Amino acid sequence: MAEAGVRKGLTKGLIKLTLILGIGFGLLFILGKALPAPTGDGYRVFPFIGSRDWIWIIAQLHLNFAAFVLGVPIFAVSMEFIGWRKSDGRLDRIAYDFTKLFTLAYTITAVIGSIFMVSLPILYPKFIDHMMKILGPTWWVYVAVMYVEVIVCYYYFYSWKKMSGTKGRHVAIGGLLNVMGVMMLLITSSWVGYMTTPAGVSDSGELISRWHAIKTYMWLPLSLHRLVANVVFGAGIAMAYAAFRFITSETDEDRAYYDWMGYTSAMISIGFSLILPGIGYLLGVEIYEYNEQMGIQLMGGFFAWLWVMQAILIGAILMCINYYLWISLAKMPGGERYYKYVKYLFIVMLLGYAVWLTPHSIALSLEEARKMGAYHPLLGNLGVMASKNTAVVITYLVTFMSFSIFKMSNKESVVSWAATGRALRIVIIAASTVSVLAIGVYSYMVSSHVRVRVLSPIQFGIFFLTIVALFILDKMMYKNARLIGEPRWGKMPERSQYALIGITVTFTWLMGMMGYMRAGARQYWHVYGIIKNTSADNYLPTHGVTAVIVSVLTVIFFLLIGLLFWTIMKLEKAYEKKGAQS
Amino acid sequence: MMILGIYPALASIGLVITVFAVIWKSPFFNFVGILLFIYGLLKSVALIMPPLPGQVMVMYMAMSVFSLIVYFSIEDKTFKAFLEPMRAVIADDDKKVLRVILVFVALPLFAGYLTYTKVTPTYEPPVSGRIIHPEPPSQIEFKGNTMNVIGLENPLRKDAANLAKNIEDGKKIYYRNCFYCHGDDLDGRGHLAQAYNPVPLPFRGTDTIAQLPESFVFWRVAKGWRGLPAGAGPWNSAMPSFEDFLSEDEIWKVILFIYEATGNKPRA
Amino acid sequence: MKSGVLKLLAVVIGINVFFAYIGWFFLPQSESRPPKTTKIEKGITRDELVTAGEGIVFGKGQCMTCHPMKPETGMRAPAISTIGADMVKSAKGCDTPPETFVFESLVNPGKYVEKGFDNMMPPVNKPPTSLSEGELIAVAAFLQSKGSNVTVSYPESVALLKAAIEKAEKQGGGK
Repeated sequence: MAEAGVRKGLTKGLIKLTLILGIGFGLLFILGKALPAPTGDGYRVFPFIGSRDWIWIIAQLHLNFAAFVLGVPIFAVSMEFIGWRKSDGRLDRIAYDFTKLFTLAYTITAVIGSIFMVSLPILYPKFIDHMMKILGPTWWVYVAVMYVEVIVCYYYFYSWKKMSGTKGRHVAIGGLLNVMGVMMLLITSSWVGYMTTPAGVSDSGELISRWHAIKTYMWLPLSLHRLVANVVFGAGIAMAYAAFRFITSETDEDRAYYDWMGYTSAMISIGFSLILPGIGYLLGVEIYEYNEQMGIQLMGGFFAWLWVMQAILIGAILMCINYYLWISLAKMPGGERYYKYVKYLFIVMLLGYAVWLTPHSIALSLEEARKMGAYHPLLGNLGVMASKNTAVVITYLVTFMSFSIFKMSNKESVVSWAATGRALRIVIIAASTVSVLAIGVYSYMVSSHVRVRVLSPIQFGIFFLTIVALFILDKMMYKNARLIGEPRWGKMPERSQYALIGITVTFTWLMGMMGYMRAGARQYWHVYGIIKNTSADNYLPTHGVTAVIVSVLTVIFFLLIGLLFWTIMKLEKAYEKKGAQS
Repeated sequence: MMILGIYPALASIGLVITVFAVIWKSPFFNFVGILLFIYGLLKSVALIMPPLPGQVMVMYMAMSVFSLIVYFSIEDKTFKAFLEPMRAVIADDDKKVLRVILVFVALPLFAGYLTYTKVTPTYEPPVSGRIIHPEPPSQIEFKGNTMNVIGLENPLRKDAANLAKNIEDGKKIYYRNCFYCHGDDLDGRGHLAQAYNPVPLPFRGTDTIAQLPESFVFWRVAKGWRGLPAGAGPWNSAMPSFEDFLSEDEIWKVILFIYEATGNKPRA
Repeated sequence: MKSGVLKLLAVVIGINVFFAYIGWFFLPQSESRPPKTTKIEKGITRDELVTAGEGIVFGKGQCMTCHPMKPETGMRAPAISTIGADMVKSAKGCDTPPETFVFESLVNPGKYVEKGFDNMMPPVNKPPTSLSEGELIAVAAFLQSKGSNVTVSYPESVALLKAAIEKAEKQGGGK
């Protein structure tokens, strides 16, 4: 598939993008003329499901695909780089496979984006007029960057084989691709940031300073959060792809490769997800900084139960990834030596999970909570930040230990100080666990200010210090270690692959839900405090409706992703056939 | 309490099943035993504190089921043994009777039980967050005069010479007006007390008038239910407004009496 | 291979149906509608004004997001149940008539911050809360009723309220 000439590929890409955009603008023009004029307060209604639900689904789908095509290049290029420096052909192949995925996903992203671009001004003309008035120029910059991005992306992909001699230059092109991706992300985040935490405009919505309208409270934290989440999500989709290929592959060789690809993607995904809470915390702080009321409402008001839902899902994800690592012990020669630890890791995971999902206030609404004011003595103490942070840090530690057990299970240390090293490891783990627990208990006794700004960061700091220390220790202990046997890649039961798929689906669902919460924080405003939403849909639906819509769009997303995977397989087959003939 | 007692028993049974399952190497019964143990344990919480809300129970149990299935499917060998009893019930020839019982007795009973719990009516009153001692207003209108409640003191306390007589007067006033509800023994169990929900407050003990300044009691006696703010649910009180029946002096006298008779001291 | 694809599809759809099921049956179901503007008519009685104010404090004003009803440890903002008396005290402390004090506390909350609390209240006459003049007076009446005499009324207090808003504008008050 890739062997078409670079120029041909580039031309194809440019024509495709221009065509999609052209059709979009054409439709926008025709529909704007043909449809009846919007209502007095500036709305048109989408048939059957209403404008809000339509925009919701399209926007989230577009965001999912965009997250994928922006997130995957980050680690694809990194892997190409590492593969180049280490002359590792397998890393180069996986990087190429990732690139294949996101290059093909561009078309779908652009098509959905185009539908989005047509729908918004048609359904919400007044609101979009305002947005164009405030941030219009950024939109044109966005289109320009998109063109550059597509050119770079197609060039990067089609020149892969051709530039295998000049790898350094090829990696640099990949770097440029990521720069473009980050720019697109920054521009789109500025729009959302403006809608949620507007600045740079007067009370009546007149532009005062465009730079301030871009540089809002939410802008950078949101961009950072999205950037990392994109990597997590992109790696998640790659892992689902690997699992899909593993389950459907017919040869042991393929199975071995896709097992390894799934493992690598899963570790990237989970590894990056470890820093997400920190950045999410930063985002939360900025929202509080902007408007305390919005912060409290987002964290504890109407959305309180969705945070419980989030806790359930994140707990399930962590449980599943541990499960995957524990199953993986079976494919490591010597892995059976470590099964005896799994039991204890599991018990700690279970306890941590239980604390993590305990809801704080059982009352159903803020008003009830205020009026009753009573918390359950047990749940009231377990469901607060002090214990939850502790539980999360502990489960993270367990996850890291599962990972290190897996890594060392097929090796035996040969250094002279192996026994001391083992003792040291136990000391490090015990010390960090005890200190995290002690800080957790201590957090009950201090004001929320100290807890939030001092103790929680210290807990996470201890966690990162611990994993760095363990990582260095293991590196030194297992230097030139005796190998008991190579990992038997591909010797995995199918249920492990379903666990990977489950993780990805849950990620996607979670992203849909959190996206809804981020948008819902604006309540009945298009632009918080500036442009009121007076349409028929200006209310937040029940959590049940939300869950159904998020489920529907997640299923649509996976059907489209399935289509993408299927296309890749078909192209690969066609290419193999062609290769066999010539 | 009788019913609550079965939960620790359930937990113990679960523990016993678990121990035997470990000895006989049956992951499935191990799973059942642990679940039973967790359920019994969580329900036993009710013995020492308010029970866990139903929704939280569902969450904990669902999490346990999910996590334990994860645990028992890590190793191939364990997972196979875990599925074995289920496979046997469905497929083995010698389990025909068990199959028939499961399908024609256990399943219908279970469905019936679920239906029963869904449709059976319950008679729990809605929760009300009634504030029993609301903050008094700083000023009240008493018979056309404005009085400052905050800082108001009982003028009769200073009159040491007539204290015994005033208390005696207060006693008469009490038996003519208050005794029907608040009781002969000032314990809130008068003749009419049981007709009210909530029942009238007792004056004995340390948590009613012993906690209150006399100005507060004066406000309550003078204004009755009508003076209560919405948060304290005036509709839930039958206390009359005694300003319509008693003079200022008489109210102070009866307050003297109820403190004296119960041996309580007003809060300063 | 085909059975694998079908199984995967079933897993994906199954997980989503399960999540939707949790959302639909296990989470509390309520909508969050934009608040309705409370109409305050001319010549409204004091009690009606207080009742209307209570509705706004619990609803449109979203005051209960930060303010607790009764004092509790670690509260973000002063408790409502004694706020009338507290305000009378504070107003005396800075030689301001109580009516002006309560209005200014609403439209320019940064001006008088109770000791021990952060300056974080948004002016509630401005978006996003955007209470109208009548609503502001009703809220003021409700707050006064918590421990002091209600001295504001509609429409008599409008002039005083407008003066407070103007003063706040001049100061560029609040956040």
